[in-house]
Amino acid sequence: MCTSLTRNPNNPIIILYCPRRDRFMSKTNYKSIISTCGVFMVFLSLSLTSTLLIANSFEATKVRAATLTDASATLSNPRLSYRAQTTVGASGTSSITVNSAGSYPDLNTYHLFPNDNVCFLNEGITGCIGNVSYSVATISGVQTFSLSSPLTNNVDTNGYVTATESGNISIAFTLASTIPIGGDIVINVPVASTGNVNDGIPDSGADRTSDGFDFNRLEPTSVNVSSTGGTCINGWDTPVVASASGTITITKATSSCAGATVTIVIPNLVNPTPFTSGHTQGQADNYKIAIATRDAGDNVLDVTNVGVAPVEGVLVSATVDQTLSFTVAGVTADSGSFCGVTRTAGTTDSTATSIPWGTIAAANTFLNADQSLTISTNAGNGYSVKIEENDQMGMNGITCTGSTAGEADNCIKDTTCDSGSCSESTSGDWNTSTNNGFGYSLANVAGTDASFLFDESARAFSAKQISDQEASEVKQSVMANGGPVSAKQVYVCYRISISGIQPAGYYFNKVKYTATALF
Amino acid sequence: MINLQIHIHKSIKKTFLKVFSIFVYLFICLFVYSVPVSAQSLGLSISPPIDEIMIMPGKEISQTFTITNNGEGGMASIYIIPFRAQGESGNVTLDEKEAITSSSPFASWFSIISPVSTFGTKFYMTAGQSQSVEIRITPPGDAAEKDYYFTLLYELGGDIPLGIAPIGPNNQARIGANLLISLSKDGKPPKTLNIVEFSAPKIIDSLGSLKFNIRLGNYESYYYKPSGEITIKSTFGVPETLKLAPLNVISNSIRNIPCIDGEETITCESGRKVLIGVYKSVIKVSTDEGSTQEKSVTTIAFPFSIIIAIAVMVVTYRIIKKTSKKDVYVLDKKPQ
Repeated sequence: MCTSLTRNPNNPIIILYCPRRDRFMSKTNYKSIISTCGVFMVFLSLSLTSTLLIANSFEATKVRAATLTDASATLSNPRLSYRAQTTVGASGTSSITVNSAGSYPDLNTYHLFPNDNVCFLNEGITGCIGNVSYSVATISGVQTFSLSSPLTNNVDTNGYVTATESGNISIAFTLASTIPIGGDIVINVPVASTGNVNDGIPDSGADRTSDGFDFNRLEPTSVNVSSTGGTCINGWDTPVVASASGTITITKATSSCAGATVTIVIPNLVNPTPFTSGHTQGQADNYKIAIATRDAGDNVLDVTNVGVAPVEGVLVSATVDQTLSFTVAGVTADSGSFCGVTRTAGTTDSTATSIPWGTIAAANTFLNADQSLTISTNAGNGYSVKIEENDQMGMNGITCTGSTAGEADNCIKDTTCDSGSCSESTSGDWNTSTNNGFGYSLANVAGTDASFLFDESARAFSAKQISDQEASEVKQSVMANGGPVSAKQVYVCYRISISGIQPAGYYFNKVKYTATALF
Repeated sequence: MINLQIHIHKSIKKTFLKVFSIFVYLFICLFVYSVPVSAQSLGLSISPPIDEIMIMPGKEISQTFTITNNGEGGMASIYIIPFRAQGESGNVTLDEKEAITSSSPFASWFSIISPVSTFGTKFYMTAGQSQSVEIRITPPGDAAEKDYYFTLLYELGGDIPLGIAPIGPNNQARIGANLLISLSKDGKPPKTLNIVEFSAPKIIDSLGSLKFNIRLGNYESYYYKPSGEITIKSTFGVPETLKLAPLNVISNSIRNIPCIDGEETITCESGRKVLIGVYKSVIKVSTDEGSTQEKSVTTIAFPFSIIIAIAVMVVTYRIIKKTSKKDVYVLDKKPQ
């Protein structure tokens, strides 16, 4: 038998004394606990109800957010900016190499274009090194490109090369709910989670939560807001730009706006660089731009997200090297007309490297020989072919001093034509074989590139001397064209005649053709 | 029987060995007793044909050209020679006396890395062979900031074989690529353009076309490429625009500038026939960095040919009419 020592019956714990066991014992008072809990529950219910009623009384105008209709965002320049780590690029040179490995937005030059403006950043990305920008001249390889002017500073081999792509973002939407006086539109453009997002340098990140647009020192007054349709009285306030969060807030301070289609143009934002993780070149990186309208109490009225998807530009290119090709070939045909002279089996055959007149048995008789010159170039500036001789033809190659050395000097003189006055620069008709000498004429075979023609001025064989370098005569052009040409061809028709008193012997000289591109 | 078969077999084997030995002998002879033959064609090509380089004094740059022997095998050599403008069409005059050698003023500027180590050294190129020519350009740090112009020449053939005394010329062919080297410390050389001539006929017959002469001068230290156009405005009709070809105008030279249609250079000439009235043509041209220069020329178009043709027709008509009247008179008189 135990005795209760607790006097208060509402006490949930009752202390008992049991003399048989000679000890104190406790016993739970369930009745008391149930009644206590009931009181507590009633109190809690009353408190919650009253709290909700009070809260409701303070939020009487709150409505459920609707969706803006016809919402869109358009990038005027959807091309991603470029950033790669530089590994080679020395001051005074123009060749740049970029890193092919690592966690960088670009690991090659695929996303770089000729004429892109690039600047070189140090590792800390504090601005263009030397405050200089360069233009890309050519993309010379997967990892290399060249600049149109040499670097004025070394690149930082832990730094970057970047090509900024910037443009406008045009956001348009139709209001579902009226924006009341004092209400606003809030645009949230994704910006990078690290680094300066307002310096005009393209930003980077692993994915869309850490990469984003750079605000490029956006001036609030440059953000253009307009509306059409509906009732949207008066204008909009100057936007408030918070670049760190990528937020632009445009307030409708003096009047409401209902049912209108609103267009907001945010100018010169710098596009992000490709995600450093999981990006596939040629596939767009997707970003969401959040648009919300709010009332004067910053309660959201309408809300929507629109997507923008910048992507790399695609450089479609094929390199065609500029080339200049020139061929000299001999003529061995036994028929046909060359510079108005019919070739026969007895006509001297030439090779590409010689005009072998052989033994000239008959005096005061013309010997003729021909060579063909063919030229092709895809150079835009065109080409010129000049002819020169090292000297007049001298016996055993002796020097024929001056431009008029002749038989008395053991030389075969250059022709002066029938008129006695043709030269290396002035042509003249040469049909009388007793007017001895050595000269040449030209005929077009393909094209019209010959500098003069055998039949010009109604002549039968209009001839010139070959410029004598021993006499410092000016080299003369035999072919020229101011643009790209394909397989233009002329015949160079050599002619010789000697007098009966020409000393016997071997006579030769060197004729040189020089083909150069025009500058 | 078996012995006969063996004998025949041995005989065939012997014959085969003999024929084989003759072939081996001829094959060896081909190399041991062969003599050089004259080249049948001289074919050369070079790429690129023009190379525009901007470099800071004291720096170094390597340039690679590709030369090809499209003809028969022969001895080739490489030279670098300064050039200057000849005429006003982009032609070059090579200053051959100043060809780069160990003693020339520009000796320290250029070195050839491959295929030989000195300029002018001959090397053999087989038929169809392509060869990279690498040159290193190292203008000294104290070199004046301006343009320097050179031609890289690839020469082939022309050697007179020993023991042969030809009668007649021996030919040699060379092909050249132009090097326009701009020496600049800041990479932004000043470029100034001068319109030396912009002309068109003062009076032109209707239904003719308006032709322009454009000559641009460069009296500064760096070459430029003009960028511009000619706008032809008439009293009636829509203005017409002609685009100028962006050809290099090198330092201290004047260049005739044609127009360009796509990639093709063309004469600067109006595409439409002129009618009647006043045609004002304006040229606006600039360098990449420089300010725009402008000049205009006025042409009066008048239908001289048409008026003369009408006058001739009127006079002819009157003569015919007069003659007809006389004929009538004679006929009228005849019955009397």
